[in-house]
Amino acid sequence: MKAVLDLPASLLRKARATARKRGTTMAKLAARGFRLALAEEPKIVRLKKPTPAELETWLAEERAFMENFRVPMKDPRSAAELVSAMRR
Amino acid sequence: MKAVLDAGIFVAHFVEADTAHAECERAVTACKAELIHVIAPLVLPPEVAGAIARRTGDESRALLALTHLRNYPWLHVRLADTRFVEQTARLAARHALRGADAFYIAVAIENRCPLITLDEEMLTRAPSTIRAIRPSEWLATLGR
Repeated sequence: MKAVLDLPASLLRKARATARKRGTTMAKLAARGFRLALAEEPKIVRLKKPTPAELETWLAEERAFMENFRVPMKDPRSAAELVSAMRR
Repeated sequence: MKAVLDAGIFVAHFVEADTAHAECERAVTACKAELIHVIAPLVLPPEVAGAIARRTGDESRALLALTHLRNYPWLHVRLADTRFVEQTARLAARHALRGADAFYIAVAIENRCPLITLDEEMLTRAPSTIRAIRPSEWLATLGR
């Protein structure tokens, strides 16, 4: 039950409604791992391919964002080495 | 088209000083340009945030990276239910994988798509049922 109560309000409402519709209780649904079933992945949004100009604009924005990381590195290892080391 | 991208790709993309930055920037740009449906296991956001925090020594920069990742509409984080965790654990047992690697590989198997990584261990240990390749190899398959 605690798992269900940990749900955000919107999902809690959805859980209650589903339990009512199925003629069961939220506790029983929780026992069956309902929390994870509810926390479903967001629906895939249909995207449009960017035009070359849009892509250039996006890339310029990305590069501007990268300025945030143009600082002296506390850990000089490459991303590959660092992420790999963090997994050990 | 789908692909699984390792956390290291995003970290190298964000940090221009990284040795693999150019390759990873091209890979991330290809995702945007070609509308690649990138799927990542739930460990990706904490891995990116942790790695950025370690490299820069700054939590706020790690949080910035996290917010930025959320704004990639083509990036989807695969949440894990009990069944998926069980399957992943079995996969880890079968191939003697590290925990996080097993999640990446499990997502690639589930979606029958390549796993793009810079991680040597993942490149060598991934089962033959999936293609674990470097960003440059993947870009070549896309003709980029």
